Amino acid sequence: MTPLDLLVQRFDPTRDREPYWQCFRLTISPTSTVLDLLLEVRDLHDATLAFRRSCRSGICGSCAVAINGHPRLACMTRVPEVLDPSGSLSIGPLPGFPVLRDLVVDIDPFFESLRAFLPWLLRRPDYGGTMEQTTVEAAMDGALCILCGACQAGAGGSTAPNPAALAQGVRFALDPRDLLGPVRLWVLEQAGLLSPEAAQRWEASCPKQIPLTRLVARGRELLGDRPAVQGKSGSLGA
Amino acid sequence: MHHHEVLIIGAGLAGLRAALEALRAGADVGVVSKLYPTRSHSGAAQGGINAALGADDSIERHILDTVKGSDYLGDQEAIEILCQEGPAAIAELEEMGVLFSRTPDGRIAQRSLGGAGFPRTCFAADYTGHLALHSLYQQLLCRGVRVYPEQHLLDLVVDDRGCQGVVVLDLANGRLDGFRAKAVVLATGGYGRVYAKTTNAHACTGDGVAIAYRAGAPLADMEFVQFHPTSLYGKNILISEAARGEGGYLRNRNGERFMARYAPEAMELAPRDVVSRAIAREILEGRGLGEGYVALDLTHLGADQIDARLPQVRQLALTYAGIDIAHHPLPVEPAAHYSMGGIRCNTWGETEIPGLLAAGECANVSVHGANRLGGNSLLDAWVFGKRAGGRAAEIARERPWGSAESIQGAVDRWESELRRICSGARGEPVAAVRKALNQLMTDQVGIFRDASGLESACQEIERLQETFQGIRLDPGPPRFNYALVEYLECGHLLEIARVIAASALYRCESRGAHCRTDWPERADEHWLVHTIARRSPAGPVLEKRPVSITRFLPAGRKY
Repeated sequence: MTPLDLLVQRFDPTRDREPYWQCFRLTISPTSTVLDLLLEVRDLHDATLAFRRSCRSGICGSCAVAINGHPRLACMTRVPEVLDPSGSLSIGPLPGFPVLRDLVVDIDPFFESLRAFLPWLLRRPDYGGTMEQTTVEAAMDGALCILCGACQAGAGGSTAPNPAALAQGVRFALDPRDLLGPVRLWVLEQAGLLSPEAAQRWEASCPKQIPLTRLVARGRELLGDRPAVQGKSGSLGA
Repeated sequence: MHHHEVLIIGAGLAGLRAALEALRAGADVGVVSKLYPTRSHSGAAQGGINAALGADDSIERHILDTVKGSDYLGDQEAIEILCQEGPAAIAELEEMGVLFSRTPDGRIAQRSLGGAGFPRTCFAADYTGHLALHSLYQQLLCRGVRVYPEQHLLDLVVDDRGCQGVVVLDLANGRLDGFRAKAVVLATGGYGRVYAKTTNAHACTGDGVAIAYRAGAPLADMEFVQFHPTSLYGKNILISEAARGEGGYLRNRNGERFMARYAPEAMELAPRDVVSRAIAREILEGRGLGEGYVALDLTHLGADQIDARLPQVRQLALTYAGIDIAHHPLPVEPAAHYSMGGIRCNTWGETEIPGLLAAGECANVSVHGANRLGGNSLLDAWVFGKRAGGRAAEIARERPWGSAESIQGAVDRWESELRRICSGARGEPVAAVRKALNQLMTDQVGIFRDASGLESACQEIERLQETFQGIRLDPGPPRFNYALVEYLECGHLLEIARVIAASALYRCESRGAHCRTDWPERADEHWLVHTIARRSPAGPVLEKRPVSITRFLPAGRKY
């Protein structure tokens, strides 16, 4: 058990003119996660601290916040890994999203911006019912996205390109059951989401380590095979 | 006020499946959830979903395994439906995009989970719940279903003609809102958060179960709480049964595969109640490791099999214990995991209250009886969510709208109730009451129970309820008032805990997950019955109700 100064950003737009930082003195164990600290604050110090949480095991995607400025999942971040040498740690809301209160941001724009990419399987009528395990595994890479929003925060915030759309788009494009298939890649390309350089940056902020660069490479490879859809003009915006 | 012919409360697998079915039947559907749909706890299911697909397997064997797994308390009429619908459920999931793991010839692969005579569990590595939840949600997104996220259920509006709607708290702005509906489907999940040691998400506080009980719906079999054998020691994060399904061993401090003493044939793949008791026994008798755990040993499987079949388990162990399961055994202990009990309903999800239905973990149909088999909960959510949604749409066609005034009246009553609660901080902190309850339940209403422990637990829960009654909160900012939410959830947990403890004291036998050390045998002559609990001012009033037995008479239960 070691002491720690936890800085948490507070903001209630109905009362505060601007966000401010509040410090809590806590003790941590080597296995503490950042979520454990937030729960301790709410249980023992200040029941009004607002933050989202649910599964505490990195599968629900509720607790994306900024830890020392970087988007991460609070429940998947072990405190010793992010502690600065002075023994302090800061937690703020997911960067680039409108703050509703304390660590709670308006996540609707993230979900909304996905919809334009038709993130659902449109089933081919001629799918035969069998699939190679290697195909399953390739599509699984993108399907493991938990929609936490950390990637879009890393990309610049709620109005930036949505890398989750890349993960889902390639996931469906690689799925032999999907009717749109490669058309999805063309859409991603037009939306500026098939960029290897950008994918590398976005990948760094994905708590689930979704291999976005690999997905872009797969996507570009498949697009290259289909000159018919390549080179068509049209703009879907960035 | 909102109006929907069919209103679904809860956006996990059962709720969303109900919503889809009601939409397909032409109903106007609304979905209310305390979370965003993809945050629902169905997504945390790892191991898979059962269906008798194999050439050597049969629906009949799935039924028999489920009946035996339930320690003969499951209603066989409902279990027959569950198992018969299995293959169709898998076909639907596949159609919606679930990436099931495959056999070398490209068909859906199956593996073994506990208590099954066959490898019957279809799986998407160990992300089955995540894929199922997201795929179903995507299909609903495509159909443009109306979802109201982050709305906390406060009450059901019930009059002498049945359920007319609900009252919710909109977390984002702190306002109360009414929903008028012709049929309400509760799909609010379980209540593992009653316990200190649980695999469940923080959101699993049994809101729908407690609120239905207060509204007059009877609960059934609440003494049957499943303790999952393998939660990560200390943090109680779920480590899938698939780890044993893929060939993992459980070892005690002597390195011995102790399951040989408890289930010599099934070994680690005995049903969860059997394995959890065995682990607890090893620890109690001094053969545990450290301060009280056993080792889950997967090192002999090799990294390739682990990465193909158990990638999430490997990641969870690494993140939360710093252990690579490919090279080192993992410390595990049992933890509360699944609620076999719930709101009593028929095989169409209908409760005793007209217009109120229930499906999934919050419901008791009952397909799991005294112990649920791994892989049967996603199936239950899917099959009975679908049936409840379809039935709700039928009910909506027949049933007139209730009066909007009665909904508004309930909203007004709750507004003054919340003003009373938030009238200035007083009394114990909510978290202190919740933690006291959690510890009490894990210590005295856990894997092993006896009359004296249960009697004192009942008294202590009543005392905590009195303490809770004295709590008042600061009004606080209206937006995202989590202090108020945690207060409401704590009230639900107390309500449910009282029924669990009272039902456990009532049932003088040991069956499935309910193990009374003072009544160690199963006693079919008196207790092959469901425990029905109704609320009264003095506490739960308990009675017995017969079990549906169609084909399989109770027999011994050895594994």
